[in-house]
This record gives sequence, structure tokens and C-alpha cells, in this order.
Amino acid sequence: MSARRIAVLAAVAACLSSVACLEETPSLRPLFATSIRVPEIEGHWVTSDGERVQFVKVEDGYELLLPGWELRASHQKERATLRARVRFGRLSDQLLADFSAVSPSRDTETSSGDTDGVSFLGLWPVHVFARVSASEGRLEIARLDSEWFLKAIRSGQIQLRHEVLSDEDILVTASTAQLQATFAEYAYHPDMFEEPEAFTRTGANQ
Amino acid sequence: MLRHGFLPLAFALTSGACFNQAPSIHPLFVDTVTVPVDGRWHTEEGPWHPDRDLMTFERRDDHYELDYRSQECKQDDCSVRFDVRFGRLSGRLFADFTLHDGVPNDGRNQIGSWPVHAFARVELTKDRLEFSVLDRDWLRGAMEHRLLSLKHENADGDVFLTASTRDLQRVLTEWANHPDAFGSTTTFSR
Repeated sequence: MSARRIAVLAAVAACLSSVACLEETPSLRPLFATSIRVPEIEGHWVTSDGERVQFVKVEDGYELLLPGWELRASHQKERATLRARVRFGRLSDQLLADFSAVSPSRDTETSSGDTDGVSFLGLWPVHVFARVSASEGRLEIARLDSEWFLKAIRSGQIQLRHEVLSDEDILVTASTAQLQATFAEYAYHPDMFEEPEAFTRTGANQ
Repeated sequence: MLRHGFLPLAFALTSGACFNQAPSIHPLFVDTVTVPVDGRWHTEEGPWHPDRDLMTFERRDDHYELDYRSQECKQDDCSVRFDVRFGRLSGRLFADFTLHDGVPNDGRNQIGSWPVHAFARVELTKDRLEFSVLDRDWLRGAMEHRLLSLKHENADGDVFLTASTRDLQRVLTEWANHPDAFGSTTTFSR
């Protein structure tokens, strides 16, 4: 196991929730270039363990805020909340989410005190995917099963263009159209996604 | 929020979105040659960074570990650590930078981010260290005009290098002395 992978796993273990740990088997390109509106997902959610997330509608999709992950900008006293960009779309009538880092340039334009850019040093925005189920009071997010996905790509079961980084890491370089075709075909495959993380609706201050 | 304290070299070297650096998914070097770079270096104060930035190199097994921080940064959680590997191509010194262990120094995970490599041509004397980054615009133009062939992806208008280490070395060997291939020089003093 590579040192980088160990470090990433250590970071994953410290994650506030599985939603914050969606970086495995990433894609260079998005699953969705634009986002559909998902009104029922907007607002505050909490897991049974008390981990909180918030989805906020923004111009080109949603922002996922992780209030438990407050960052200190390296040269300032300010703290800010870790966030990600989320785009939703439907494939084979399944609601899917595309998570990506909020870019530094976007940060500077809209920042309310978020990172000073150091967080992005040496890190390139990639896309990671999940299957989502949302109703008025319940939210479920099932991460792509990266282990199964990696095996499926390596065995040729799923044919997606990719770069091999190591025995355990690949970066998917397929186009958005190719990604959508694959996820439409495998949207109901029992092994494609992990067991979902369940959230219930909560208030902003609860 | 970007303010006076940001790390200009680090941005220049490693943020593909900034300062014309083309990121690479593969390293330029998988181990390092020994160079007399150990110890502390600092930038000169200037209008764009009124505070000095401090850089400390320390040799590890197959690389140098670089701690980069502003003068104000007194704790490890406000520094940035890189793994740096030096090598010579066409008789010139080059450096490969990547985040230490692929994660920021405070161990926090990034949603939807992936560690990449950045390259610079290096000038090193006893008391002076200069990094000139591979110029993204020059690289894109050279590939568009078929002056060089290097495997890559276009992602959101940016060049993202996917070439192997061997191919990266082949191309940089060929272009090591080209006056336009490397720019955004940052200078450090002992």
C-alpha cells in the first residue's frame, strides 16, 4: 500500500462523515456539466451519529457544507467551513450526484472567508460520484463502491478510459458522455454503490 | 481568501490553476539526485508578498522534504509540505514537486481533489536558489503546433499531463534550454 494511500486513508478515517470521503477512483471529468434542481435536498441534515451536512443552492448546482470541518486559513485567524460543489442529474431514473472541489478562483470570487488557497496546492479538482435518494425528511447517499468499480474497469467489464497510477489507483479520463452511458447502464447494479449513509432533516441550530 | 500571506512559489509550482503551471499526474523523477539544498531559504520582501516566505529542505530516503510557510506561520498546521525530487536533464537541474503524502499538512482530506506533480527548472548556487516553472501556455502552444508530443487531457480548458515519467523526461530533455519553456522565476536566498 502506497504511503500516499495510507495517508489518504488516515484522513478518511478522520472524516466527519462518509460524504466527506469521496475521493477514491476519481474522474477527471464531470458526470454532469449542469445540475438539475433538487429542492427536497436543500437545507440541513444530520446522521444518527450527529454528523451534519448542509446543501445550499448556488448558481451552477449546489454547495455541500460540512460544518464539523472548520479550517483555519494559514495566515489568518479566521476559520471557515469545508465545502464542495455538487451537481445532480438523473440517469435511468436514478438521482446521481457529482462532487468536486470548489476551485480556488471561485473561492476568491465568492468566498465568505474560506481557505486561503493553500488547501488546493498540488491538488487538482476531480469528480467523485454517488447515488442519492432524497425525500422530505430523509436523505440517503450511497458512495460509488470504488473497489468494485476499479475491478470492473481493470477486468474490462466496464470500459472507461483511464490512467493507471499504481496497483491501487486509477484516474478515470473518460468523457462526460461515456460516464453517463456507464452510470445509466449500471445505475441499478447491486455492487455499483456502497450501503447508503442515512441523514434526517434537522434545523440550522439543532 | 487570498491575501498578502499566500505562498507565491507554492502556487507557481503546484497549483495548475495558477501561474501557468501545467499539472502532471505522473512524476518527472521517481527518486532524487543529491543536491546541496538542505537548510533554510527565504524570499525577498516585495510588494506582492510583504512578508518573507520561508522554505526548509531536509533530505529523506528518495526525496527532499520541503516545508514552506510564511514568516508569520509559527505552527505546523499553517505550513505546506512537499516531496521534492531533483534530477538532471540535458545537464540542467530540474525539480518535481508534489504534496507530501498527497494530503495537506494538517491531514485534512479534500473533497474531490487529487494530488498532482509540478515541474521547475532549477538554478542553484551556494546562496541562491531559483525555480522557473514549466509554462502552461508555452506547453499548450507547442503541443498545438506539434512542436512536441506529450500525452495529455484537456480538462475545462486546462492541459493536464498524463504522459509517463519516461516521456516527460524525454520532452524536458529536448526542451531543457528553451528560453520560453520555463518562466515565473522565484528566487530564494540562504
